[in-house]
Amino acid sequence: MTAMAASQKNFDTLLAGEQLADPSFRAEWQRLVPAREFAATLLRYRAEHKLSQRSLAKKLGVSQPRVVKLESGEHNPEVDTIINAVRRLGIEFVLDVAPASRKPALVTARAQKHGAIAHDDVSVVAASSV
Amino acid sequence: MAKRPTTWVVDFDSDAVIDFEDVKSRGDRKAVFNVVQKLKDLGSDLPSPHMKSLKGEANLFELRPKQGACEARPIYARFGGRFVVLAVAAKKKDFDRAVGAANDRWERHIDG
Repeated sequence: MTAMAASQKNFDTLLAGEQLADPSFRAEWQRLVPAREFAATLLRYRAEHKLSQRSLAKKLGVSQPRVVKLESGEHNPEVDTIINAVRRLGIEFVLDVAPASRKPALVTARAQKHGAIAHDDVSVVAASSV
Repeated sequence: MAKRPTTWVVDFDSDAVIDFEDVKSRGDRKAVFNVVQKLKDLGSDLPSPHMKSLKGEANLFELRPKQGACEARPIYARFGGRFVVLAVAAKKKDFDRAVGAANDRWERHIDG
C-alpha cells in the first residue's frame, strides 16, 4: 500500500507557538533550562549505564523520590546538587549565563550548540559531557 | 560506534496537534512539552518511567508526562531518525481511542 503524504508540525514550532500565546509559559520554560539539561544529563547517564532510578539514587547517595524530582526537569538544581552528581558520577556539567547581546565566550561551541537558549535579556548555556 | 545525535527530530501528526488542544490544563500542557523535550534530547535512549512501550503494539510507545502522574499521554513512533507523536490522549478515558488513532495515522508517516 502506498503511504499517504503526512501532514505534521515540528515540535519546535509547536513549542514556539505556545510560548508566543502564553508569555508566562515562555518565562517558565526559559527559567528552567538548567533543570531540563540537568535532568537530561541524569537520564542519559541512567540509559548509558542501564540503571533504574533506584540504582542511580544509590550512586548519588540520595533517595529515589529525589531522583524522580531531579529527572522531572521542573526544579532548577542547586549548585551543591550539581557538584555531588559530578563527584559521584564522574561527569562534567557546565552552566554559562551571559548577556544575550553577546556570544558566550567561556564555553565551547559544542556546549553552545547543545544547550543554549536565549532568554529575553540573557543567554543560558547548560550542557554536560554525558 | 555511530555517533548519537545531540538532539532528535520530533514532529506531531497534524491530527495529534488537534488532539493536544484537548489538553486544557496549563500544568498538563507544560508536562507534555517537558516530556516531549526529553524525547527530543534522548531519543530512543529515553528510559522508563518517562516512556513505555505499548503492550501488543510493536511500533507504538507512550510518553508519560510527570513520570506517569499526569493523565495526558502522547503516543509516538519512530520513523528512521525521527519520532512522530501520532496521537495525544488528554485523559485516561481517551487512551484506547488515542492508540487506535495512532495506529490509523502510523501509515501516513512511513515514507517520511
